[in-house]
Amino acid sequence: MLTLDVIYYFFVFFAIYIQIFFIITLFENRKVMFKKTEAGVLAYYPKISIIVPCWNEENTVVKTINSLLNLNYPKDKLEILVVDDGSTDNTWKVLNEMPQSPNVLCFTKENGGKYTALNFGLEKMTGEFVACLDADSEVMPDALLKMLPKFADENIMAVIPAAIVYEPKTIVQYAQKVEYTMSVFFKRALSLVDALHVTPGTLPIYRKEVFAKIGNFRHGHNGEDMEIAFRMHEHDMKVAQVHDALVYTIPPATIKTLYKQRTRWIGSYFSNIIDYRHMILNPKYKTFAMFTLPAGLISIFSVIYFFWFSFTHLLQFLISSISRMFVTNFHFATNFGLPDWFLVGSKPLLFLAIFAYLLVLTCVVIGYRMVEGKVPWSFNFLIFIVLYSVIEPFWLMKAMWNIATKKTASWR
Amino acid sequence: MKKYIFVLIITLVIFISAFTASRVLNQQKVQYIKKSQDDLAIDILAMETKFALLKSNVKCESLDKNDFFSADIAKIGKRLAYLESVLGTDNTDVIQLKKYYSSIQSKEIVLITDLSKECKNLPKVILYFYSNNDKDECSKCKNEEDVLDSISPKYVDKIRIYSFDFNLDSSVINTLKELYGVTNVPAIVYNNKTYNEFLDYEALDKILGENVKGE
Repeated sequence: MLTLDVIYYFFVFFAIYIQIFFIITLFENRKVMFKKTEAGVLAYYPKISIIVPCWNEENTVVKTINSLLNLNYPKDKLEILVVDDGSTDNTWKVLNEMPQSPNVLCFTKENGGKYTALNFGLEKMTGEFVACLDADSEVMPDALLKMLPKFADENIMAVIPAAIVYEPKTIVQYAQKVEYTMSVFFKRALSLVDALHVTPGTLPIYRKEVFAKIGNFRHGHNGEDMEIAFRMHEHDMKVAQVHDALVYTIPPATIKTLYKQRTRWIGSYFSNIIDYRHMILNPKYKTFAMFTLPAGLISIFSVIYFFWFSFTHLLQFLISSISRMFVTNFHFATNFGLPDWFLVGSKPLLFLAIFAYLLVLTCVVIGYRMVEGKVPWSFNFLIFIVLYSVIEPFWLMKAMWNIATKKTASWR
Repeated sequence: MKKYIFVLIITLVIFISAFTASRVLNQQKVQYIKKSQDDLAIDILAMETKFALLKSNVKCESLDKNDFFSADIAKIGKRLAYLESVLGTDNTDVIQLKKYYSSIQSKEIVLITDLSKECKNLPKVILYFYSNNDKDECSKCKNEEDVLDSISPKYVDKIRIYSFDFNLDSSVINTLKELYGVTNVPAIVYNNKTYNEFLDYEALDKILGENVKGE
């Protein structure tokens, strides 16, 4: 039991370290952290190519394209490349039936995976900047104007917006809304220390040169959006985030679909970390290698361990309860009234666990301040914490299991 | 680099605070038990003195169980067991508190036994010997405690259970062990009979039932 506690302290130490790192980063940048980005007038409007890869997205693709057509940006400087990656539903039909627009070019190709659709778009595009947008997302009209000024810094090679959950309907989506909002803060903090590990498919904008220098998208274990970010760090290219350029996405509505999605995400995250292991703790690659990668690994294993730790304790409790029932021949010691305050735990382990949860809550609050400017205290925070505490370990374990048994998680 | 060290220091401070808070709280709990035991000892001493003065003039019907037998003794026992699980069996504070607790229990036993000669409406005494040094030494102790816990509501006001750590190096416990021939754990002493074995619910119920009915 003692060794289990020691491992627990080891993990909880790093869990708290990681959260404090984020919060200290916030303090270091407190002047700019919450600052609203002005959707300014640009001196020069570069041509932007937006690639929309789609695979069986007949229900959402038109909305996605319409949100792009509504962007506040000169229409002649916007090129939308919709690439149908061999959909088996009516995606291609829907694309042909929608009103024609000179900005929108639709292509269809044989199915080859999302990265092949993106690369197909890269071959066709003519802009100075490339953006990618998943066909289940919608962008806010001012997104581009908020993001593009970032490129004034010559070292910044890609800019990502903040992904937010669109009109949650199920409990699982409400929980994800809290998570997405919290992760805006994490990504903001990581971007401020040049250590952002992902350029997710919710409208990241890249300089065209990125692909000329380091090559096109790769399969990246179904995580091409992480692989490209890892590769950019390998070549000392910076990724920035704009916390109030919003892109709405519709997340999985049920636990089952969420579980599948996350198993895939974590699987590709972990596999990419393995592929880029030469970077871990190598000072040459700066904060990305010194913090982001080790923190990612430790987070995965600590969540699994905390779950396992709680699970074994719960199991022990259940076994002793059942054994008590049998040994006392189902006569129960009746104990009404309040539990004895004296028996409330006073182990450091408990205090640290409570503290770690409070830190998570703090990060949620900071995320909301960043995105919405205020904190709508709601029951959803609790739902998020409880739901994720219970189910997150399962997809982490499943992802680890898949990697150990060399299975790749299915896309959908 | 500076930042990593700074974050490390903050994390360490949080850790040290958690450990310190836990230490302080446990120390408070030790003091709290000590205080409740002192109160109990004073109560028992007062009772002893009172009955010593009254000698054979005790009015049995006037014995109020509630003010005579403080419910605290069982509660303190539970709290002490909890503290032991947190601080460890080797903790000197725990050992001292347990010795004190054993003496208080023994005093109450002596008092009840003396008074029982005069008064018949007093609860009967159950002595329970356990060990928690080593799981193998007493694998059945946990079960026996569950049985005692679940059976006591049935015999409320009829029995009083006093528990003793078989391995505690205390002259009181050694005397009790010798006196009743307790050789291993779990052991139960009831009505001048010693059961050096695990008694399940039915067995214990039968033993207790016979005597209680007999009155």
